[in-house]
Amino acid sequence: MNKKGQEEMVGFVVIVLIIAIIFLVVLGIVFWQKNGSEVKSVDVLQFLESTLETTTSCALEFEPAYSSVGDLLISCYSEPNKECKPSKENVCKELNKTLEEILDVSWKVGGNYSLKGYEFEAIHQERSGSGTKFLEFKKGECNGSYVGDEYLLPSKQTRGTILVKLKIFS
Amino acid sequence: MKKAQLKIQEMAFVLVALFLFFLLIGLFYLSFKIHSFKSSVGNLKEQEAKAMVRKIAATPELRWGECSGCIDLDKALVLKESMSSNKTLEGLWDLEYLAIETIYPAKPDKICNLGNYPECGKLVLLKRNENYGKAYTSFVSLCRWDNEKNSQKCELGKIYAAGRLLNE
Repeated sequence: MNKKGQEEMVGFVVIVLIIAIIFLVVLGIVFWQKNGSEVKSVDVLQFLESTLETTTSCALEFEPAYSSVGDLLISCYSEPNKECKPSKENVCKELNKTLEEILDVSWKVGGNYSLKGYEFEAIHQERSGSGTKFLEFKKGECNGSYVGDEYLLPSKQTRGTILVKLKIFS
Repeated sequence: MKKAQLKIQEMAFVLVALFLFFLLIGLFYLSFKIHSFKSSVGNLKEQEAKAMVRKIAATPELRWGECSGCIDLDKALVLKESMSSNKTLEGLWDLEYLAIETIYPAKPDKICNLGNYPECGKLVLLKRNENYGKAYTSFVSLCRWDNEKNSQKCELGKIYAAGRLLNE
């Protein structure tokens, strides 16, 4: 009788363990999906679209035809050694400076804000489908859940497209 | 009670306990899903309102050329001045509040008028009352003719709009 009681106890413990494991697996799946997924944001898309239209203080051809951020992106990939007029600054340096300033004023990230960080990427895509990342900015903590979107910029000079991505972590 | 009956009763209790346990898990999962569903409905409404705000920027009264997300800031200033002299123009949009703010490059924190334009940060087109409720925002390009550099210039900005129409 005592042995039978012990057997029943072991059976009960096994059942409890199996249920606990199932519960943990379900919980894990639910939270893993929540953390790793990207939520598309209209805000981010509109930001990217408007940023690429923004006029810089760099004229690629002649003054006063000042180029937009989108033009500098294309030029930074196709002619990375080109100089801006009238500053004679390198086109990629000017692009980095402008983009960093725009991102900093538009998305306040860090300990005192609700947003943890941001990640900006520019990738050149060939017609064949292969891609080359040529620009990347990161600020703050870039992990966990985020909202983001991407914008495609056609580039005649390079016969491809430039894919601009932005992720905002919260 | 016979031993076999006791066994059946024991099994029934275990089954009931298991059923209750899985019912609890199911309820927990359902409440979690309902909560996330509610928040995604809220997000969708917000995104729709933002898209509507962006559509305001694309109206012929504000639009810059062929660019759908670009506002002609010169045109907006003229419209604002016309609105203050001609009250019928205020009925152009069924909104409580409509304003445009320059984000980049930084501008002085002043409300735009004919005297300080373009060295000002915010252009208020419409403000029917102080308590206009929640204002939805959308990123836009603010384009104008730069007289100093004799070229067109687009800056990064935001359009703010509030009204019953956006909350529906």
